[in-house]
Amino acid sequence: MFEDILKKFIILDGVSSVKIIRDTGEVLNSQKTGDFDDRQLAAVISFILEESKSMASKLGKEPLSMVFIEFRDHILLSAPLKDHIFIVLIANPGANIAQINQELKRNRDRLSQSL
Amino acid sequence: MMKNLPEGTSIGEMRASLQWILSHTARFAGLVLVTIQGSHGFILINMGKPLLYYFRHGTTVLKGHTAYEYFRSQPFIQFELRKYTVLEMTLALSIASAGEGNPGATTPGKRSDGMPVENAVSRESSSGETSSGEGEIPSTQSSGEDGNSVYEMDPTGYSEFAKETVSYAGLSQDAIVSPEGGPDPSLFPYISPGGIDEPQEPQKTDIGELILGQILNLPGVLAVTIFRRGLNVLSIGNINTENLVNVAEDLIESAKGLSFVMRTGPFIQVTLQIPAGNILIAPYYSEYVCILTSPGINLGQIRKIIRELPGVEPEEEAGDMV
Repeated sequence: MFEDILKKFIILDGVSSVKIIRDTGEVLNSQKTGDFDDRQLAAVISFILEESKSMASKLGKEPLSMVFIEFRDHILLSAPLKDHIFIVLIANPGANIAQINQELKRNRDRLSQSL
Repeated sequence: MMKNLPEGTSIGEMRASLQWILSHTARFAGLVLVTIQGSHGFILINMGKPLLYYFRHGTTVLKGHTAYEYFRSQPFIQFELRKYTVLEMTLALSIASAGEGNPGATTPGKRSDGMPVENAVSRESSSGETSSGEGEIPSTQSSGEDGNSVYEMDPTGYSEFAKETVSYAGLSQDAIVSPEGGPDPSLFPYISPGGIDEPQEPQKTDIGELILGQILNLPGVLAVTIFRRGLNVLSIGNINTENLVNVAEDLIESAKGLSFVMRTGPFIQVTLQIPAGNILIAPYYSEYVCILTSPGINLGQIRKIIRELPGVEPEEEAGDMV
């Protein structure tokens, strides 16, 4: 079931990679078509998530829902699923962010429960 | 209120370095009312050209180049922009010329070193009249017994309009800038004023301010902060950004670290989604702009505008590294 959910993301137009990552850098699951170093990516993403959480807390102890980072050639979405575990999606700049975000919201609880 | 000089219309109160003020007033005509450690002064600016510098601390009055150098030495200046109409600007220039006793002293323009053509120094008599002459280079001067000159300001009146709400760069009227009681300027790291005499890029600045205005006018945008090196140089909207900018900068640095892992191309922006809304951060010239929005805002619209911000692709080399 877990992989089935991840496949829902990878079939979205423009999405090249979906990963479940632990904040230690361990990749728990990965569905991808791209060519990235999972461990390096996980390490950097963990930092970003931690700093994002810290920034969110500066604005009134709010929990972080999602981080969206845009570069010229790639976009990256990440969201915490459970303590120390988060999902990372990598997509092309032309991908429909709203659709990916919607799918993430829709499946986030199921993913968390299946971990 | 400032004595004799036209009052103008308040369009914003902020805190920034002189360098920042001069580089962001390319389309501004009016007074920049300055407060430094409880004392007041002003810069008369006409479409990016500083015409007059004036500062008064107790009985000491600084004018022209001396006042400019003093402003320049300050890492941060609390100031208010008061916009002039053409008529008000003309009146201000004529009053300033009369006050200087030298009509040519306030001719708009800059010297080759970027300083205003106004006399760098002058001396005020006890009657408030001012004289100047070649070879006379006092660095400071004392006002007369009445303490008044055409430039003198009433601090009480100043504080009143300084608290008014603002509409800088197309802001809504309920936006507020840099509320009093913010961080002590002396605690901020010093920003070098270097480059102040470098040629400005008025067209580029205009476009940036126009786009910022567009962002601020979008429904759902709550606040905008411009920051650099942990320093909040402009804050518009009712939000405490004191601690935010440091974390934001760390976040951007980490985000840029992705360029070393993936062939991402240059960094464009990062958005954090929290239940209360969104936080967007993007490069803006050599600084960063941080936008806070309500939850329901159209992120696609903001993304499009951010992509058009000047300086959103400052680190081309980052995307070429593996």
